[in-house]
Amino acid sequence: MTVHGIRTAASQTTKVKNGVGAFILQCKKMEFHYCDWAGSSRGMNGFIKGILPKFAAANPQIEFSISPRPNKHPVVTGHYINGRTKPVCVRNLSPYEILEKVELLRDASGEKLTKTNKAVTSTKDSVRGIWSPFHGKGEPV
Amino acid sequence: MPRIPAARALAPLRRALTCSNSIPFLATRAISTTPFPRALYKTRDGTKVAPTIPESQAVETEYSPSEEEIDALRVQEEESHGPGLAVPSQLVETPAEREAKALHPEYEPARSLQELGALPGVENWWEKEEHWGPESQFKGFARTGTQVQQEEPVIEVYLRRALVEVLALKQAGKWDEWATKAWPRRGDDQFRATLEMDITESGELKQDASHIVAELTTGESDSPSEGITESEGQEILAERQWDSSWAQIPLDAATKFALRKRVYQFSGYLIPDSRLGAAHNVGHLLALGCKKPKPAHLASILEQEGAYDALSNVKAHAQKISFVEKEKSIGRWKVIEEELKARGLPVLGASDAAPKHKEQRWIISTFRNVKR
Repeated sequence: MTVHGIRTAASQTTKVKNGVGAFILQCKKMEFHYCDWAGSSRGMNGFIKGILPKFAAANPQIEFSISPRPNKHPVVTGHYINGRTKPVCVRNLSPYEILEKVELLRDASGEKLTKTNKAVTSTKDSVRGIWSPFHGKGEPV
Repeated sequence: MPRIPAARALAPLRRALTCSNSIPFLATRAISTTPFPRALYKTRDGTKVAPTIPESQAVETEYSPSEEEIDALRVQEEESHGPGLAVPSQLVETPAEREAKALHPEYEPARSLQELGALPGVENWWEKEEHWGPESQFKGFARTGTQVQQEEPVIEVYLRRALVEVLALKQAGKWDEWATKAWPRRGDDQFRATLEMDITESGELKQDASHIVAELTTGESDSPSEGITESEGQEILAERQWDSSWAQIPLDAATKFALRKRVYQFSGYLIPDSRLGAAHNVGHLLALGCKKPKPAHLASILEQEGAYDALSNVKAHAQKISFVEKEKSIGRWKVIEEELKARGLPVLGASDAAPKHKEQRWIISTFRNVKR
């Protein structure tokens, strides 16, 4: 899917747009589990009946799976192309609160949530650090 | 030679006790080797019903049991299946060849090993229908399962019949006695007779209904009515052309319950108590009886509405996705299955799971080791 997406983006654009045209959503699949009996699934059942059809139509690149999970709280699980999953319990939430959670899962990268202290994140950090004009003696022009 | 030397002294005593004119075992009792109906030789109480043969008689003597003996055997065969689950016998006793020939002229003994039948074990005893008496079969008051009818023409015809019967009982002064009893279904003649009656706007029958009451207060007929189909109901409605005034007849609580019970008996649909309170006339009951209940499962609603039919990226499952289905979807199940088989492990759990019913476990544990 990834290669196909890049090819499609490349064929549609004559110019390279710094990767903008080749954006691929990181969320590839979403699973919705509900219970027919439990009251904590009332909002989830309403979401599946009323809101999810529109959401699924607006996001055709995501695979959706709806299945009952009896006697358990409702859960939405996002699957990402990095192999990770994110499950979110949506018990006793209203359909629109569940929609917020679903949008959060859709927009997530799939990476673990980490605290960001630096302005730049790199897989290979520079030993010298980032140059700053406000530090040091300064160079006379 | 006895192991204990002192036991030699008992040898003369044993010789004295041994019958001199004893007959070999095979000569006194022929061994039947042909598979034979089990109920014939099942002795539940341990008594031996087959006639005893004097030892002095030779095997070649033609044996013909009397009619009384054959009748006694047949009665025992019929009575061997008592009420409830038939229990396997502790001792399986096959009749002798001549007894079997007397009972069943077509009986032929086996001549080879392949002709021998094998007695089944008790593992599947619970599942076999012949081990259960007729009293174990459920006979419901109303239709059940998929046979429940809720089509409007059918319910209207049933309700009309029930109302005529209620009014007939009231007209005959037997309503108090028969209001809470189980009314017989009776045959199709009674069905037609009730539909021919006319009802006034005030809720009374125009004709004499003594014949309907007579049929209703006698027992069940030999061929009770099975009800009508939707097309038959439409034909009846088109033929009768009832005016809508009978739907406005007010109902009291006792009549409501009687109508509901009668409609339930024929259609299988029981109007819920919570809704019955809101019904005040026949028309309300008709509307409630035709109203289809909401689906119990969300998957059924999604299937009915078809909200996801046009979306190829959505799959709605009706049941929980099992471990095997998850593995199959990514193509890993065949690898797991092969590895389990290679190690001699059960693929889908233990095959000899514990039986569900307590009585079933008792049968298997009690009769498994009985020599048969």
